[in-house]
Formats: sequence, structure tokens, C-alpha cells
Amino acid sequence: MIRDKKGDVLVGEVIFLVLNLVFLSILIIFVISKTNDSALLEEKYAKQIALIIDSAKPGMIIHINMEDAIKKAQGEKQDIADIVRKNDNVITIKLKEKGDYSYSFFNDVGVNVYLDTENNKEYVIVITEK
Amino acid sequence: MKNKIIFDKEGSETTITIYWFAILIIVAVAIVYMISSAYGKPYDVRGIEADILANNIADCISEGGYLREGTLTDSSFKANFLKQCKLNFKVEESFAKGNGEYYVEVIAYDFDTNKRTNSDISYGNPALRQYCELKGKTLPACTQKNIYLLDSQQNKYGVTIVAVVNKADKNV
Repeated sequence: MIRDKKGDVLVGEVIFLVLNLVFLSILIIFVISKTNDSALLEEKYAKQIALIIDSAKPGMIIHINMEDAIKKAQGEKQDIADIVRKNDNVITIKLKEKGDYSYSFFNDVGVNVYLDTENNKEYVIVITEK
Repeated sequence: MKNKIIFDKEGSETTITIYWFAILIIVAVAIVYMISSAYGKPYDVRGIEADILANNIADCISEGGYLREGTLTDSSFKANFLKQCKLNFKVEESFAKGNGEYYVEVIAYDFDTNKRTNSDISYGNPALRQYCELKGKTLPACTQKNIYLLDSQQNKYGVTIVAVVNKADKNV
């Protein structure tokens, strides 16, 4: 208890501190939830991988570190080997039970995407002739 | 002491004031606004995409500064442009109802006389071309590249490549 010189409990100061802590906590939770959102990571990686494929040439093997997305998917109890999917010329990222994010690429090459099971942190993109 | 909103039992001074709450609210609104403006909108990658598209076309028609044989001077190249340049303009199902999210244009001209050759190529949604003259964050991204090429007979060509990417639903 916070007391003044006379030893009385300073109710105002206690409420003040509690309200400040509540305010700060809400703000921090809001910032973390916004910056670490699954939907945001899905969009980021779908577009990143689509652009990598667009600028790639056959014969290239690309390793992409997706540790943050993989952790997120594990937290959501998703199969981490199925985070990145390629359907025709569309890349889809799925990190949560409901919803996913897809983005198309225009480079008409063969694409094989799989999880690097040696470290479970990276996805490997293999570009081949179609 | 009109601004005091909480008093203890004796009504003595407390530190919680209207001013303090006003500051908290201003800080909260500012942070929410900044976070929302930074993370609330999708990443706009259309500019990069248009650049890559133009580069891929440049790589398709040229090799080491020379005009690749069987491209601009070959009539069958124009007919099979997408296949020859390994391009696929299909997009996600959500876009399928539109008229196309891409447009490319290749204009070749004699470098000395500036006279256009008869090998212009355009492919995709031509309605997107008009936006290249305009500026705006929500408008399609447009890239124009000019390259200089020689053919096997040392004839000089200037080639202008225009690439436009719309995909507004996913980027704006």
C-alpha cells in the first residue's frame, strides 16, 4: 500500500497507477496484435514468394526463411509442411484455421515448393523449365 | 482545482486530472492511427511486379545486347508472345471476372531513322495503357523501359517496353 507521511493509503495514487498500467497494457497488446497478425504475414509471404518466382530463372533453388510464419502456424496448430501451396500460377499461404492469402505470379516456369525438414525454418523454392 | 476528477476521502489533491486523461487519449489515438496507417493497408507490390515484367520481356527479346533471333523480326513470335516469353497472365479466381490485370507493349523502331518497324506487340488488357500518363496511388502501376539492341547484321534498334499491372484489389 502507498501511504502518505501520516500513513494514510493514497487511493488516488493507486488508482492512477493501475489505470496507467491498464492503458499501457491495452496499447502494447494492440500494437503487438497488429504487427504480428497472421493475415499480415500471409500477405507478406504470398507476395514475396510470387515476386521471387517472377524474377527467377529455371535452375534456381531459393531458400526463404519463414521462421516467424512457421511459429505462428504452429501456434494455430496448422500443418507447417502445408503453409505454402502452389496451385497453377497462384501461391497461397495459410497460417490459421480460417482463411488464407493468395497471390499470382506471371513467370510461366515450373515451381516446386517444400518445407526444408532439416531445420523446419525455411521453405525451398525450386524453379524448373515448364 | 476544477480539473480534478478523483478525490480521496478528505477531498485532497490527487494526481489524476482531466489533462492527464487528455494526454493519454491523444497518445492512444496517435499510436492507433500510426499503426493502422502502416499495417491497415495491403503491401503495394505492383510497381516491383511491373518492373520485373518489363525486365523479363527485355530478357526474352535480347541476349547480351543483341536482338534474340526469332523474336521481334519473326511474325510467329508475335502470335505466340506469351508462350515464347514464358508469361502467364492468369490470375487468382477473385480477378477472373475482370478483363485482365496485365498489359504489355513492345514497340521497336529503327534507331537511326526513328521509323517504327512492323513488329509492335501488345498483349493483355489495353484499357490499362491509359493510366500510364496519370499519377495516383490507386491507379495501375506502369513501367516503361527503353533498350538499344543490335541484330546479327549490326542494324540498330530502339525498343520501348511498357508493362502495366493493375491488381488493385490485392494492393490498394
